[in-house]
This record gives sequence, C-alpha cells and structure tokens, in this order.
Amino acid sequence: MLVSYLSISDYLILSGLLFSIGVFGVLTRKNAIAVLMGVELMLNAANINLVVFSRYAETGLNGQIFALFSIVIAAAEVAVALAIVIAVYKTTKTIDLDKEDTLKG
Amino acid sequence: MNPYALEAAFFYLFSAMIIGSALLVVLFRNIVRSAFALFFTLFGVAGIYVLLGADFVGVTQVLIYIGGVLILIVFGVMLTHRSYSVDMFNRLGTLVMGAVSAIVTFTIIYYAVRRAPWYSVGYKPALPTTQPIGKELLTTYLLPFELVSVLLVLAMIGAAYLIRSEVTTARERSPITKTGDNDSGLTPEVSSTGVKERGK
Amino acid sequence: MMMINFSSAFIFIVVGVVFVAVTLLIARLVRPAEPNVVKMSNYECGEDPIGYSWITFNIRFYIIALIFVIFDVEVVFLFPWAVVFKSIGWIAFWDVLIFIVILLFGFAYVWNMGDLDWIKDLGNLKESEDKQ
Repeated sequence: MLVSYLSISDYLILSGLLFSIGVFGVLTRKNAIAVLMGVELMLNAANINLVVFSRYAETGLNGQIFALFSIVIAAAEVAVALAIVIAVYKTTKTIDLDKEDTLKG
Repeated sequence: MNPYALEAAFFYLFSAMIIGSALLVVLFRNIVRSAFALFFTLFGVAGIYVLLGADFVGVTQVLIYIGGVLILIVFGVMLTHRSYSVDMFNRLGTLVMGAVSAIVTFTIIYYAVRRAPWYSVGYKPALPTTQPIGKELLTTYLLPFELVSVLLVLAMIGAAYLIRSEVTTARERSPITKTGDNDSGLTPEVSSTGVKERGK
Repeated sequence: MMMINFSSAFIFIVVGVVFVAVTLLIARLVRPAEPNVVKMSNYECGEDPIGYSWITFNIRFYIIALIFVIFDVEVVFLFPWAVVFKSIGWIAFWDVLIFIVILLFGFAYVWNMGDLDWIKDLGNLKESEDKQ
C-alpha cells in the first residue's frame, strides 16, 4: 500500500510562508513597485490555497476556477496599480512612499 | 519509483525555489534583481499547481503572471528608474517591526493549519482539466466569464487614462477651452495642465 | 498521465539550463583570461558609451504592454473555449463573441484617443489653439 508523503498541511504551510514573506515585503519596502511585488507574493499564496483545497476536498473544479479568476483580476490590478505609480511619478518625480504625503498634485 | 515519493521530491524542490526566491524578492536592494527573483517565485508556483493536478491553472500562471504581469512590472521599473538612488528599505526600526509582523503572521497560520482536523479524501487521479474548465466556464460560470471582459476593459481604459497626459489632444481639451466661463467644476489649474506639461 | 506530459516539459527546462551552464563552464575553463583596458570596454570596436544606460523609457511602451496583457488574458480564456466548442455548439460562439466585442470596445477607445499613435498629433492641437 502506498503511503502519501505529503498532506494538505504541507501545502498550506508553504503558502503561509509565502504570504508572510509578502507581508514583510509590503511593510518594509519604500519603493512603490517593490511593495507591489510583495502584494503579488501574497496573492500567489492565496491562489495556492485555492488550488490545494480543490485538490484535497470534494468540490470539483470550483477551486481551480476561482484561482483562474483570481489570476485574471491580479493582472487587471497590476495594470491599474502601475499606471497609478507612473502617474504619481510623473507628478512628484519620485516613487518613494515616504515622500508621497500629499493628496494634491 | 513510488509516485508519492516523486511528488514529495518535486514538492520540496519547488518549495525551496519559491521560498528562496521570494526571500530574494523582498531582500534585494536593486529592484531589477527583485523582478528577476520574482520570475523564479512565479515559476515555482506554476510547478506547484501542476503538482496539484491543476494543469490549466499552471499554464495560466505562466502565460498571465510570467508573460504578462512580470513584463508590466519590469516596464514600471524602467519607467521610474530614478528610484534606484532611493534607499529601498525603511529605517531599522521599521525593518524589525516588519519582520516581527511577518513572523507573527506565519506563527498564527502554522498553528491554525497544524491544529485543524483535516479530513482526507484519499487518492484522486490527476486528470486533464482544460476541457472540464471550459465546460464550467460556459455553463455555470458564464456570468463571471463575461464580467471578466468588462473588468479588463475597465482596467485598460482606466490605466490608459491615467498614463495619458503628456500631450492632451485637442479633442479632450475642446469642452473646457470652448466655454468662456468655466462652470464645469474644473479649476483653471486643472484645465491648463496639458499646456504646462507640454512646455517641459 | 498528465504528470508524464509535464515531465517532458520539466526535462526540457532542465536540459536547457544544464546545456547553457555546461557550455559557459567549459568556455570558462578553456579560454585564456588576459583582461586589458581595451578588451574590457563596452564596445571594443565602437564608441565609448556616454552616461548611464538606465534611461527612462518612453511611457508609450507601457500602454503597448498594457494592451498586450489584456489580450493575453483573453487568449487564456479562449483556449478552454476552443477545446469544448464542438460539444457545446453555437451558444458558445455567441458567448465568446460578446466577450470579444466588449474587449474591442476598450481597444477602440484606446485607439480613438490616440494612445496608440507613436508620434503624437501635435498639428491638431495647434489648430485648435489658433481658432481661439
């Protein structure tokens, strides 16, 4: 009889680790694009969770389709977020988040 | 060879790749290097998807994340290059607090995962998923499928609108410049932005 | 079965990486290492480069990349549709036609607003200023 070496918790701990690294990146970076990369790490961790639950639970393909939509929304989010970063850069000539303390151009 | 042992071997390979490169993403001082490290993270995640039997999601990850999102991020880096000279990290106090928050987050997740009574459904054969996903998208998930196109259009229009301002075209400017008295709620500073930007 | 399909992709990646690494390693072992000033310059037979190579790229590249990503996502959704097209029939065709037409509206907007013009239409702007 075959014994599974991996359980659901191994995958979930991997995604938890990836999420924590993303949290660290978001909290410590000053560069706006680097913060965006941290957000991407966190989104990927969430997507791993969706696919893992789709594999280990009797839910059919729902988890995978959720992950699919999540990836698409992440693409739209990055497009708009980078446009905002570039627009801010054009106004203030910096993307240092500590210096972006005004709302008026 | 035992297929479970093979799966475990690949899992640890991809996990090492994901965690190692994710650490590099948040620790590199040069943001271009961070972007390249992000490539390996995203690729490792695609490998995990395939390992979990989600072949179509894995291919989507490669196509959209690596082929699209990462390219956009690299473009964003190139368009805002002056930030290289800026120190990437906050002060030491913020670094310590960030590390503490990350460790606390991980500890909570770890204990939650370890204590939860997971029930196992046993072995599920990994079948190709493209066809069932296509069927689901066109039947159960038809409305979200159509809404995705609306979302993408909104993202495209919004991002293009935010980017465009170097030279405002005459078509855009005409409603403001035609009316003599400015009652459109826009201040004169706003309406003259196009001219000011052009002067640079 | 699926894992076997992807294992060929994995082997392909591994062979690609190993091939490059081994070639570079052999080259490093074989070639003589005698650096001098001329050899280390960026363009040995050309001009000396001036300034910093990390120039700020033109912002129009971003709009092109943006539209590429949007239609990249569209292609990903067309792929499973193409696989099941025969079994679902014409209703699938209309579903995807709506999907594409909505996306084309966005494309038409971007095109119409002149974001895709590589050379911005300055003449039009000047004309409207003269009219005032």
